[in-house]
Parts: sequence; structure tokens; C-alpha cells
Amino acid sequence: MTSENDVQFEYDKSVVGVEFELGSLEVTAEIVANYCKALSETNPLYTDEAAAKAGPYGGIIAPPGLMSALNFGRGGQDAKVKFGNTSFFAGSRLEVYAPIHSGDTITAKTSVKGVYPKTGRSGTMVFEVRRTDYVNEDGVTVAATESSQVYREV
Amino acid sequence: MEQRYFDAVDIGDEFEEVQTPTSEDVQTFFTLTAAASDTKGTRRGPSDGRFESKEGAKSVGLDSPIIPGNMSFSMMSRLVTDWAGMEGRMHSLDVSFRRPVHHNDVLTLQALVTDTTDDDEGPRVKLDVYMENERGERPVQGTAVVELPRRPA
Repeated sequence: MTSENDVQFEYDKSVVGVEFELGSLEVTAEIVANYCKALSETNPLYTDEAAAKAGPYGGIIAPPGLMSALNFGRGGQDAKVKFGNTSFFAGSRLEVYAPIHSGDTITAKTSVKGVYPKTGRSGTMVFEVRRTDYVNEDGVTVAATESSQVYREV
Repeated sequence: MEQRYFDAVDIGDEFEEVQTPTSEDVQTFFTLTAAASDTKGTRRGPSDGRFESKEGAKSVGLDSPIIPGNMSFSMMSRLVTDWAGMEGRMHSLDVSFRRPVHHNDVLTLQALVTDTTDDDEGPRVKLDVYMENERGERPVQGTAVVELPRRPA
């Protein structure tokens, strides 16, 4: 039996916990519209200016899932995990703190929280967990995501 | 769009939507994640074509192209915000990806009320959420927390 202490893998420990700015991006009406189109989104809060104006936020806001879809111009630090022969997106958590209005400029900052092995029924995997905070032009953190990438042998 | 009220929600309530993400939808989604302008020395998503072509998918052992994880995540987010209505507010969504989701899969997205709380944080509802494909598999599942308004007097 293999314990998690026995799992052999390599990664760049120097990037863990180091915050890295991915860039800033204006959440334009076009970005919101394209996101809604890709998802067949019909919620008036995101798609109907008149209905959104009469709603709780006084205008169109971005769907909360948008943050996880955007590219802010740069990738995050590469932890250079060496394990297995494939990797995939294992999970994601989104926390929403405040609405994002069309026209807001959002800055994303990310860090690798940790890299660790897990052994279960389907074998041994190595997880890389990354947290990203999204801050608007007023310095308000509007959302945060935590995502895990898994590395394994198939 | 129907507005959901905290007072009218019961544990065990269910909600579902059907969605069939096409290759065109994936391409539209990719306009949001277009090639970064500065990626030197930094991490990128897979560029092996697994999301875009049959050949790319086969190169990583898949039968056909798949939906990016953040697009599946977005579909689950849409389910929750549709359930909550315009005055509801999603506080968190936590999902895990168990299997690939393929282009043109017929997906039933479901939410199940598992708990309600009404304390200092306000009237909140906890949901189990999952995605089921036409083969009866559940490639994506998770939980969400939503704040709902109280029904007006």
C-alpha cells in the first residue's frame, strides 16, 4: 500500500503563496453579451437593459460565473508539477461578494495555495489548488475563485 | 422570470433546466478566454485541441471534443441564478468535475434544496446541484448557497 508520504512528484515550491497579478479588464457590455450567448442565458439582470434598470442593481450586471471564464491577459504562475501523463480541471469554487456592473474594471490576482497528493480508489493524483481574487476599480473584492487542477497517470 | 421567495422554499424542492452546449457555443465561450497577450513564463490552459476538435480530443484519449470546465461551471451558475430569480443572490458555488462533458451532450441541470437558514447572515438556502447527461452519468456536481428575498407583505 502506498501512503501519501510515499508519492513521488515534483513542483516549484517557490511559487506557493506568492500573489501574482493577472491583469485588469473592463467588463464591457459585449463581454457580458457574448458570455450570455454562449450559455443561452436569458436572465433579464444580464440581458435586458430596461428590466435590469428596474431591478435590484439599477442596471445590467455580469453573471457571477463570468469571472471564471475571463482571460485577464496573463496566466498564473506555473507550479511546474511533474506527475503522471495528463492533467484536468478537477473542481472550482466561486464566492460572490458584490455585483459586477457592465463597465467595471476588474483586476485579478492569483496565487498557488498548495500542491499535494491524494490516493483514493482511482489511484494516486496530485492536486494543485489556486486562488484568484477579483477587485474592482474602487478596491472592493467582488468575487474569488478557488480551482483545483489534478495530475495523474492514465 | 419567476422570483423565488425564502418563505415559499421547502427542503426537497427541485428545479431543473435542459441545456445542449454546441461546438458553436464553445467557440463563443472561447472569445472570452482568447489568447493572452503576455504569457511568457506563466501558466496556460491546455492547447492540445481537446475542446475544439476530434483530433485534439483523441490525442488525450477522448472520443470527441469536450466542454471546458469553466463553461460547465458557468452552466451550473446559470442554473442557480435562474432558480433564485432577479432578486436572489448567489453567494457561493462549489463544483467538482467527475467526467468529461462532450459537445452536444443533452444535459439536465438540477438543483435540490437541502437546507434553509435565517440568521444574522439573512435568509439563505443551500442547494445540491448536478448535471446529468443523456447516458445517465453525472459529470458535474456540487453545492450552492443563495440568499433569497422574503415575500412582500
